[in-house]
Amino acid sequence: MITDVGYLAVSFALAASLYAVGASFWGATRNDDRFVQSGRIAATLTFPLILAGALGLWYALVTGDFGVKYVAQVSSLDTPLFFRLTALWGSQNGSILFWNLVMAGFIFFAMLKPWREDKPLLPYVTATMMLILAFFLFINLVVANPFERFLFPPSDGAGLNPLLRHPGMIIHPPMLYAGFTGFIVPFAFCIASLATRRADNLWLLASRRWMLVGWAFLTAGLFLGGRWAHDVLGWGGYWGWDPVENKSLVPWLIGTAFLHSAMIQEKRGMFKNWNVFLMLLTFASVIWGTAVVRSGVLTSVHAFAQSDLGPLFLAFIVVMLVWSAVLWLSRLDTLKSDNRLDSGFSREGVFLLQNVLFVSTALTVFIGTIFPIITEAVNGTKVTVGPPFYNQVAVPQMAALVLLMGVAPLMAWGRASARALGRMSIAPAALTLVSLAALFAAGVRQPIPLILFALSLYTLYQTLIEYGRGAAARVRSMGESWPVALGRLALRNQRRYGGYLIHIGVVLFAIGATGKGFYGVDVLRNIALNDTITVGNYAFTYRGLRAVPCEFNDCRTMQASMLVTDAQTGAIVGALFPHRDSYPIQQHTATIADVTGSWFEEVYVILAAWENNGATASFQIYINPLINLIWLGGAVMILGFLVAFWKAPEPVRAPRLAASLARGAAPSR
Amino acid sequence: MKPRFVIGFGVILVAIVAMMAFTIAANSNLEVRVNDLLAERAKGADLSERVFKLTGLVVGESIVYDPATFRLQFDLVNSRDELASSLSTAPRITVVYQGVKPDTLVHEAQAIVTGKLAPDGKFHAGNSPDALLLQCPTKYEKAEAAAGQ
Repeated sequence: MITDVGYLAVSFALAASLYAVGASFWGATRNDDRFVQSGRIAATLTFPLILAGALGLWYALVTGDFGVKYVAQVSSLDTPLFFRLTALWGSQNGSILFWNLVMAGFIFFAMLKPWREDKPLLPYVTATMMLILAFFLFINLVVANPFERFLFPPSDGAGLNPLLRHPGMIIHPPMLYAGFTGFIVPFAFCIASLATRRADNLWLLASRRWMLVGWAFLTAGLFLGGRWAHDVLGWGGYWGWDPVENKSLVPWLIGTAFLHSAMIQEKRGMFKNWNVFLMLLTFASVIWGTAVVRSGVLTSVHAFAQSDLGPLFLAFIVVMLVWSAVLWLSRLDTLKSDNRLDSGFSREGVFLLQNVLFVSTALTVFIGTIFPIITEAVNGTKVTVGPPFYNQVAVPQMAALVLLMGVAPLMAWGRASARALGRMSIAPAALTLVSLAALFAAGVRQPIPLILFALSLYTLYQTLIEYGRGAAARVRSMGESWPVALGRLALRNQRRYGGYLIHIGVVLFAIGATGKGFYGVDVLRNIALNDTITVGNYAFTYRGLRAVPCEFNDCRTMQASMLVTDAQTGAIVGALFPHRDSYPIQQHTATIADVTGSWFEEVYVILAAWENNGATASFQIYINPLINLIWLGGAVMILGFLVAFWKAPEPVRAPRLAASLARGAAPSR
Repeated sequence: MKPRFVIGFGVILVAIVAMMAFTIAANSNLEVRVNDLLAERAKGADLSERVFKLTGLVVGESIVYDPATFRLQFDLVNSRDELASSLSTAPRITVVYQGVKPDTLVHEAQAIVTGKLAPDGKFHAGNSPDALLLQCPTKYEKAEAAAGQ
């Protein structure tokens, strides 16, 4: 009954979105603001309507209404309340509803924001967003309906997929969905700007902050996904170049390129066509990514089930690509640059190079991901490319980007001076050389990790020195103390220093990824009871195996006990209790690792198997140096976003935007 | 934009595309089924250097595992029909894998093995974490090919 109301509410949301498309177009062509406003109200209403639908499904999940197919599929009588709530996005049909909810949430805020100078764009923004929402609502109602009921309800459900019973499940999918759907707002502004034949920066200024929000959510989603994989999948890693991971990375790379090149348009009025292209490409890659996970066209360890959504998504992507490309190409002439690129050796030049590298990296990952589809279409055989492809082709491009990140802030606009660049590079280069010597002495001898560490460290030092240089100027000229100068400098130019903080986060990640990638240890050992083996600097003693109560009612747990000591000194590093949970109903086994070691080096152990009631047991032992820098890098990136995004209230914002629009350029801030 | 920038970026892109092409040539795995691979071998081609992604169905009674050395061996046949009706005569490929025997390695499970057809006539799985992927024979909804551990 409640689910019928939910279904009805979602149907109304579809009707409202279609109405909003019609009213907005009508209002725009007839120049009748009443219709535009009516469309806006209808668009605003989609969020509460979809929320009502989601509440209906949540109600069914919490009350255990197994008459609803979806509820029976993702929960059972034993499922705790917490996982009943997260089960809303635990499988295909519900997660599309959740996707719609998040997307409508962004639309809700975009519709309610004060529309001033950007008001001419409103009807087109509304229509674009509503068309896209309507497509996903249609899928939700017709093809992937989470409200569907059984004719004869079962007495109990199958229970949530054991892999999804992890606290990360509260936060990882919502973050990723928010990242993906958040891009709908800047995309709609871009389309609206093209439709109204505007040549100014309006769409960019109006949507830049939305873009940043989407980007931050996507960043958080990527890192949380890596963390979840590391904690739950029991393989010691965080990233495996799986299609489902790649599909999130591609929009992230293109979106990051856009965030940078948008700055050039703001400051110099250049790259207008390129920015439109990047925006359209970002959103196209979002839809492509959604199709990859949802349709089951690619073999992946954690893809959704095979489904019949593939052709629908394909049709949608083609329509969207053709539509936006035609719109863009017909407006090419209006998007003339205000300035010319005079020299490649300039801030603009480096930004352009960086943009090309971001897009080519994205293209590399994209081609690697869809390679089986291409080859199957060409000659009927599926050919896949593995991690070596990405490591050899994408990683060098990323390393070059890390270096550019250090160099770009030193380059002047227009034309940079090689001498000034050289002068400013001396200190970071010297520090990098000293660090490399220390690394070499500590045993880091392979050339590739040395190069990667060098690039990361140079950029890290360069960024820190740049920050210090700015603060030193304040200390000298204003007589401020160092902490005050550092704080005020960042607050005076939040976008720049937030950006630097994000760069530092990326560098920390790069250092962590290099450490884990080149110096990580991964061995499989069979150990007899009370025997000790040595791996690296650690000694592992297997001390027994026992059955312990499982966290959930539908599983059984076997837990091993292991003592880890320092191989040289014999000092205790930690006691480990890795365990295996078997779920007979789902026919699934989860290997839950246990972790010890230091902040700089993680010791990660999995109980792989045992024989003769635990007389011997097999352990997969991973030693992951610097892996914590990966998580720290992610946290620093999000912190940098907050610095760049957070703004003290400014009563005069609107006139400032208007003034900057009149000048056709961004405020200097 | 000045022509020299266009040329410069053109050179970068060509270099990246060339890098892609070479890496793909060296690292791609052809997806084949048991019968495809047997047919290739019957043609007398030397396949020992080529990496394949082999898909087939596990013959339960052929599974041999030594936990002390982590040597796992099992046979794959092409289709479910062969498992059901003509198991004794169906063409098989023996797979050798170094690692822990996955719980999901049971009769009728679908296996995706990445590796090479060695001169000994057996298919040796590589040592990447996803060299042996298995999909349960039941109708469990998720495509849960638990990784090889």
